[in-house]
Amino acid sequence: MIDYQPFIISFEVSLATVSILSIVGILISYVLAFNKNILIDILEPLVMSPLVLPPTVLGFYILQIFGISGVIGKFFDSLGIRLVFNFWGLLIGSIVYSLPFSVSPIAAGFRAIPKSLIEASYTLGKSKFYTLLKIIIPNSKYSILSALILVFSHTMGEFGVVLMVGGDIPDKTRTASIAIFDYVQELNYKDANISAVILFAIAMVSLISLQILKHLQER
Amino acid sequence: MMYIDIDTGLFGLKVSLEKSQILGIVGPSGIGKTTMLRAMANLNSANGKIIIDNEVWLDKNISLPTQKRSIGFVFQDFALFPNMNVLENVSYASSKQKALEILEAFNITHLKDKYPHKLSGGERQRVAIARAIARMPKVLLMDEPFSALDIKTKHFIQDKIKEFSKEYKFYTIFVAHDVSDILRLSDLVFLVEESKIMSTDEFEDKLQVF
Repeated sequence: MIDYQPFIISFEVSLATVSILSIVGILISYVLAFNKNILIDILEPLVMSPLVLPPTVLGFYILQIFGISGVIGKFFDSLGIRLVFNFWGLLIGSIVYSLPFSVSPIAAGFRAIPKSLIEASYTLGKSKFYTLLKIIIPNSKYSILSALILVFSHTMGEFGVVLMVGGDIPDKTRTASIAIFDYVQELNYKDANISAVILFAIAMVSLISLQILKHLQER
Repeated sequence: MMYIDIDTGLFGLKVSLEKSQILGIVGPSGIGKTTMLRAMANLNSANGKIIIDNEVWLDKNISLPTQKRSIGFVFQDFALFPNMNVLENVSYASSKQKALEILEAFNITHLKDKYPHKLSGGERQRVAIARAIARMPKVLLMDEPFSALDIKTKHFIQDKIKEFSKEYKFYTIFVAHDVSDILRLSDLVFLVEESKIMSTDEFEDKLQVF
């Protein structure tokens, strides 16, 4: 009988990552889309770096920063909170790794909004934050939904970073994709196959949803 | 009293307007008329001085942000919010009651539930003007506000703008390429090429010379 716990863990991490990136992704996208300076030129490649960096490299640096001897990890450890090799580790790894998948479509959606709409809101006396909530976000809703679907499906199938930062602890940090790796190591191809089919189905549903969104946007 | 003495880098404008007065800006395309309107709203930078009813909007030390300037701006592309219907657009910076009152005055109440993509160019333009007036600004700035309107509607809207500017006592500055719009609506005319302010009568006389 296949163990469904890794799927539950992957699902929980994916939901938490989507929830956090729905706010963080929008804020970072706003900064990138509507500002032009040298700091933005540095920030944008940094945010996009998980797209090209090997997951092991990314995982290694996350361990260096959030591990118990890392800058942030040491502080949280003094409060009795460990940030790696548990659910927090999975979450931090997923957020960092999926950041470009949320920022890239959202920033593109923000940049596509006619400048005059934003200026019209300002001339009507509304603040930047009010304009973001009432004009920019509603007029980028398809980009935002696409980003969140991408983040969810990407996190569901994540392997390298979560293995580095979360470990492979049964019932705690063993995610669905790590479980497939373990099944193959044990030559248990039957369960590996079932798990792979489930992840494949989730990926296909996500991609079909993206296509539907694309058509809705074009209407 | 509205006092303007600003330079956008493309041309300068110096004028004093009384409450409810309407200034039309005339000049060839590409000379920077839109830039001038945008500078008054602080959507473009400019040097100089803008004082509205003793409130400094711009001088050497102060440059009030767009959001703090009491303006109604009619954009050339209308800039209606696509995610809102007409009533929501017009009441974006005013009450629903005021928005309905303005829609009624502009004869477009029947459009209130429609979304911008369902409107014709002329309807969008009327909604854009209604939205700018509904917030009851101190200064109404309009960039080619009648370009999509037929003559009858244009005259009707121009009369309404005059009525509202008298009722709410706002200053109006607008740009139009059609001199008949300038003659019909303006109290004063600024000729960009000559850098000269003149009355509408003087402007009409000047046109007849040609």
